[in-house]
Amino acid sequence: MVNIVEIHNLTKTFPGVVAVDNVSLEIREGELMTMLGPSGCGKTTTLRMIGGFEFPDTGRVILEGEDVTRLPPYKRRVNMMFQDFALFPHLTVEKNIAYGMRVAGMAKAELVREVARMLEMIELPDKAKNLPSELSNGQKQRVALARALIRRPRVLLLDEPMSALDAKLRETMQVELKHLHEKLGLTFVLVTHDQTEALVMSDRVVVMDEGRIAQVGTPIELYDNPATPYVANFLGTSNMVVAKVTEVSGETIVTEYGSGTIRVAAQGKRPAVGSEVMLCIRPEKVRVLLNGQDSPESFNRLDGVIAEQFFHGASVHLALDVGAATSIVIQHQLDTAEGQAALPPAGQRVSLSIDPASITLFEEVTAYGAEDRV
Amino acid sequence: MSQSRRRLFGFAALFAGPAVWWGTVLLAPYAIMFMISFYSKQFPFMIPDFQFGNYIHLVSDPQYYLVLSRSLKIAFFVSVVAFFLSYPLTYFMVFKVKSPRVRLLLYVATIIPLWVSYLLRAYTWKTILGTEGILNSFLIWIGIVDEPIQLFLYNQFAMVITMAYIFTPFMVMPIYAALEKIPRSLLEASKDLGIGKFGTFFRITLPLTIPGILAGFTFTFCLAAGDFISPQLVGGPYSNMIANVVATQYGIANDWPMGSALSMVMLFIVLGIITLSDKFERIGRLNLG
Amino acid sequence: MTTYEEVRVRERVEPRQMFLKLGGWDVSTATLTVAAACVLAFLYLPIVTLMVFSFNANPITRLPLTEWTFFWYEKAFGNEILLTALGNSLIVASCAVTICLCIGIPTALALDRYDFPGKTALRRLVILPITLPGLITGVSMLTFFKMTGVQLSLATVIIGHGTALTAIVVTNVFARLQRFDRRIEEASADLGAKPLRTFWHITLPNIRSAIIGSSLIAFTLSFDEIPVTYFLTGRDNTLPMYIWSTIRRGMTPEINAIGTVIIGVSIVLLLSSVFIMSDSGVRKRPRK
Repeated sequence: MVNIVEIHNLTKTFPGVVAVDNVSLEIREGELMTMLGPSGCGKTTTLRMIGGFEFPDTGRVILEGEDVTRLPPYKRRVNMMFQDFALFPHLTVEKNIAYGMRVAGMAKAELVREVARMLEMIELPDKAKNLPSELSNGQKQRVALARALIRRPRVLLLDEPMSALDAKLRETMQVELKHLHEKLGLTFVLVTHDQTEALVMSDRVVVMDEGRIAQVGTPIELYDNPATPYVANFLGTSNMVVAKVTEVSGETIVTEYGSGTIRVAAQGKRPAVGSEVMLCIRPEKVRVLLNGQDSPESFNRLDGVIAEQFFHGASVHLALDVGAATSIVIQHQLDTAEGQAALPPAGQRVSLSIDPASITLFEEVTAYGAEDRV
Repeated sequence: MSQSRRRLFGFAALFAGPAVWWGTVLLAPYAIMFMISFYSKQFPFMIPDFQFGNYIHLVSDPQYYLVLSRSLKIAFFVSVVAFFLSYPLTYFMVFKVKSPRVRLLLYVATIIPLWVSYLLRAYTWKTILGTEGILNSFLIWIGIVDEPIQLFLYNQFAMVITMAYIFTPFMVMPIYAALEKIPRSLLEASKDLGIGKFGTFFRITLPLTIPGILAGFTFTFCLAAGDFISPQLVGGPYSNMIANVVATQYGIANDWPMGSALSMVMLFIVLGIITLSDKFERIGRLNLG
Repeated sequence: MTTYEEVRVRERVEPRQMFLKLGGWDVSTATLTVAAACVLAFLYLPIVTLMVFSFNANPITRLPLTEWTFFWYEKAFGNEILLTALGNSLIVASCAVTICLCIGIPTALALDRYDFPGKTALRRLVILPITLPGLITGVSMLTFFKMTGVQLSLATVIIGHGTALTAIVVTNVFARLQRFDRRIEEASADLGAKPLRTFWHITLPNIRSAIIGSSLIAFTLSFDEIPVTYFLTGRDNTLPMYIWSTIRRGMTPEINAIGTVIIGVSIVLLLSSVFIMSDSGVRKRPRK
């Protein structure tokens, strides 16, 4: 696959902060790549450097093999869809869309045709003569999209595209944008702080933390094999528990947690016996064994008491006291009649079964707690 | 071209002209006036000997002290009158007028007189208060008095009325802004806690508008203290304000160094008041949280 | 100490006892309404007086009114000196506003977009002429022209007004630029527009209302200016200077007539500037 954008060792400091710290990244032609992270992690600054709105202190931005590091935005074949859209408030919808091609000097007749085509694509032909202030947020977003796409950019940059939309519309637009991406075959680079959005839409996700890249990979890779506790905690919900290593043998590491033991697949890691490690256990990978149900011999078994229940619609999260500092949260599906009937009440003793291969072990112990698991 | 070079170039292209303009017509005149205030008067014009004579003269001659204190006194009374005219009006507009359109209309109506020729507004008071004027002729017409009353015009009372009339809009604007900023929930909270209308006004509303009141006082005070048109029109014999004295120094007296020294004193008084009120206003704002 | 019980009793009683009701209005509201009406009347009484007496035949402005006439208007508009002064005022105001815009807009842009040494000092300096008494600007510039040997004329008046009133444009345009969403400029650059094109097509249209509004205000103020003009004018008179010299000699209803006209024009200018600055007039209605 061809890299359409390459950034090499990009660093950008603002007074008092290192916004982007030695970031290198390759974006492949036609993919939808998402930069994900909390505010202040440097994702927007990186995007703005690709767009030409900020120039890096050091490092290079390569677009289609050409060094564009110091080129102003109007000389780059990338276009941006801005957060809150930045539509020109004094121009009508059609003039907003036409702006980019008008600047480029497109002939009038062709321009009219092109704008009409764009309006058709975003399904707003009847709003052509309206001002942005007369549109809903969802409509504004589509106009912003059309305005950027009419220039046929090589890369479309999207800065928090959903942040101005309400939750319901957000889901619809995520799907629409993804379809559009597939239809156009264009490279999209998206910035978001919303992990669901990143997981749903992206081909690949870049997780950023304090100006650096924490991990790059497909959503499934990141979810199943997070490289650091930070990534594990940021993507999806997880139990981050601190356990003590009691035995390292071959491909298995045995740890002690509360009154029970947890075996974990080593995956090349070799923590010292007696050291503390962090385990990431996804709630949906834990099964509750009911009425003497069985589980494979190789799986972990833990006993505990149901402490609390948190209702989530299709599922319920159960907090289990396993006699350790933090309880373990598991997900119990309610989508079948059996599932509903089998919901154990609070206070009941149950056994859990966990596949050792589904647990990720980190040798570093960090402060990521269990606050937002439920 | 690097980014910073490009920015520098843009800045130079943008600001070179204005910089020359501000330097020539604003900075240079103030500097020259400051310099001349140390010169001394000598027929036919003045000589550039650097001395403090003018300032010493200002302090030692009781005539200047008298004019200065009169200016400050009149300016103070003007501000007080303007305040008592403005506060009820703005309070009414902000809290009693329910429709935002009507409120805006009333507000604009209060500001409009500001844009109606200043000179004409001072002049109408002359026609109203004069011996032959509208007020006297009205009083005689309806039979309250037989003889015109001389007391209305050509005194400090007339000056205060006229200037308070002229500068009231400057008091209304900041008070209006301050009143409008008060969250209604605060007043409701106060009432909810069992405090009556007057209590709420004196404990919540009034303290919260103090920055606005201060700004209004600063505006009206400085404007009134620096006025030299109204005193000449409606003031009469004992109404020379400091600005009138300055004007005289540049006119009949032809003592420019003295005029410059007086102007510098005025400039520093005004700047002092502005700085002071700025400081108080900031403290007030901090208290607002 | 008051007990809870006492407080509750007082709360129940207090509102009824403290406010007498007058036909649905309590006394405080009624008093306030009357006071507000009086203040408004006070603000408008002199203006109305001026207008009424401009139509009154009696050459002395006194009550009772005699008969209705347009005589004073005819006299005013037949007065050569007055008309020349009016012409001068219009020239001065137009030129002064041009200066205000040419200097004020770049200054506001520089203050908004660049950091440079002396920026705070410049901000303070620029607004000095509207914070200080006009007289100080007047005499300082008089001194300046005298020292540099410039003859006083309408040109010096124009420069004086330009200096005194540019602050209005600077503060208004600066305030608008501060509220201005810089991302639409980035969007324009993103869509291929070079900086100058972005300025003309995106920045300028979005600060236009502040520019027009402050121009109108500056025009009105220049048209009415005395303290600076007083010191800087040569042989030529502006309208306010003419009126000033006339009313110091005595009163004539001719001034009432010309005053009424000025008030009319000022109000139209002011209302349009308020209308434009509040943006309520700028294409709010959806176009069909």
